[in-house]
Amino acid sequence: MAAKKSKNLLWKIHQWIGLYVGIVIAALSLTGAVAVFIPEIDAFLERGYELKEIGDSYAPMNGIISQVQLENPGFRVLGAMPPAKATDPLILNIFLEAGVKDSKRFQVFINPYTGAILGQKNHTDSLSNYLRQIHVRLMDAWWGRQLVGLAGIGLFVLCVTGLLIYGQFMKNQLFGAIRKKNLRLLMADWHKMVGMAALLFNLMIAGTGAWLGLQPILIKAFDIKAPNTFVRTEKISSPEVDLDQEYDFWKAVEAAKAQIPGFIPTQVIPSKNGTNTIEVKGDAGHLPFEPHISQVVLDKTSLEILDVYDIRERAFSDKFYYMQEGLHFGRFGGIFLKIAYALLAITSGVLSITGFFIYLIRKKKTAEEKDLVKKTIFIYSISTITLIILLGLITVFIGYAYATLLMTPAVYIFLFCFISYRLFSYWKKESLSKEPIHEKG
Amino acid sequence: MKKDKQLTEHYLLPLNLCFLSFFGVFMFYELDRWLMLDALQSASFIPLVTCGLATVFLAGSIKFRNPYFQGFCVLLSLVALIILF
Repeated sequence: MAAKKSKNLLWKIHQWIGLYVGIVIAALSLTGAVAVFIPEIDAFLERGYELKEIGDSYAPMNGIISQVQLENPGFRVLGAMPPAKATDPLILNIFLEAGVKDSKRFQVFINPYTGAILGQKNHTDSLSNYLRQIHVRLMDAWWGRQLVGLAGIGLFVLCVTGLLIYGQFMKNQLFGAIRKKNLRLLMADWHKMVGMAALLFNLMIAGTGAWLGLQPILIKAFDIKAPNTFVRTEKISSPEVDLDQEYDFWKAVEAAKAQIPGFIPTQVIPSKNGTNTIEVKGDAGHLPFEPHISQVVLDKTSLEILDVYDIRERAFSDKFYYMQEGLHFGRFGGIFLKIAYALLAITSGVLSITGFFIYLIRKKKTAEEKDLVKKTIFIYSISTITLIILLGLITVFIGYAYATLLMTPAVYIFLFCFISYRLFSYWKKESLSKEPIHEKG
Repeated sequence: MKKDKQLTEHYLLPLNLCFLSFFGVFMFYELDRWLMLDALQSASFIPLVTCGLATVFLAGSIKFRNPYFQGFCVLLSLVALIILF
């Protein structure tokens, strides 16, 4: 009896969390499956900047920066991405600080051998930025990220409760047997099988997603320090002098490569606060860690090595900390792993849709009622996909700032109306149940 | 349903399916590493072979529902995990 009660409780938890978190999980599942391919999407869209001819030596960086700043007045250089292979361009990240709506981040593509500017791309309004922002924070700066974190916790609870009630729902059924007696049974069988097949992956995605979403709050609450935070203590010059300080970019990259075996530099960030340093960040060994996490810090003038951080040589706690994003996005592998990640990412969306269907159709008797459920599911699914595509189009063709201006109030108004409606329905139900029976007649 | 069959269908088989998803993903990762790393710093052969073997047996466990084979696959997965980590 007690066991049955606890299973009922687990089922209720699974059902209610699924209902409230399901739509967010479905949206995150779809965007996540596409977000895995962000580097490939970028490479495809930037294929025009690939070099046809390669030179013998690189052009000096100071001249390149001066030219970029001349063509983009008011922008400051955030950092540079050195070419990974001989035919890749050098990419400079530049930023214009001009309030929420008008701030811009551009990527300037440069021929590293001649210093010629090949073109530039608005990173803020790019497809890759949109995919990242909608998946990481539902296009809302602070609350969106917390909602994503809470959805991660929700998915984790759903996986655990689903596993615990799984046996009860199987009864005498063979694993993988799909009953086609009616649509509800068909959906229920697919729900169970897909849920079990992707259980480990979804647990990992849920755990890492919850951490990444709630990271700012958790770091503050538990006073967690990021492991890789080397800062030169002494100030060598004033910030203004530091900003204009010339340095040998290409020598710095080579010096960094020599410090870490198999190091692929992906970002070079010069200091702007007077510490007179260059941070060369990158990856090593295609391991499941956050991108750009290994780094070498050098003195800007003498190129003396100040700090080397090779994640492979660090303690387990450091590795665990930086494994969260790496595992979540699956970008440490190649195309095969990414396809596997995308297929597995879709499973949580499939589970949301089948779960929602099972819930809605369970008490429906007539064919009309069942048809209405099918229509409801279809409309919800198509609306979600249309909204995601529409926001993507707005971001790319009009601007990311306009897409967020549209999205953020819409989400808050929807949430306010939905919660108010639910509370009103609950209050109405409560007050009706308190009425004496004779008064009802 | 007999107890041993229920145990196989409701516990061992789903467990093997979870292992299959893990080793499948790991095998793709190892394959990618082989393709991405150059000859000088190529990855060890052992993880790829271990993952490949485990994946083949676990994929077979979906078709062959014998309790002994299912149990063998669970043990094999555990050994493969020990080799990998």
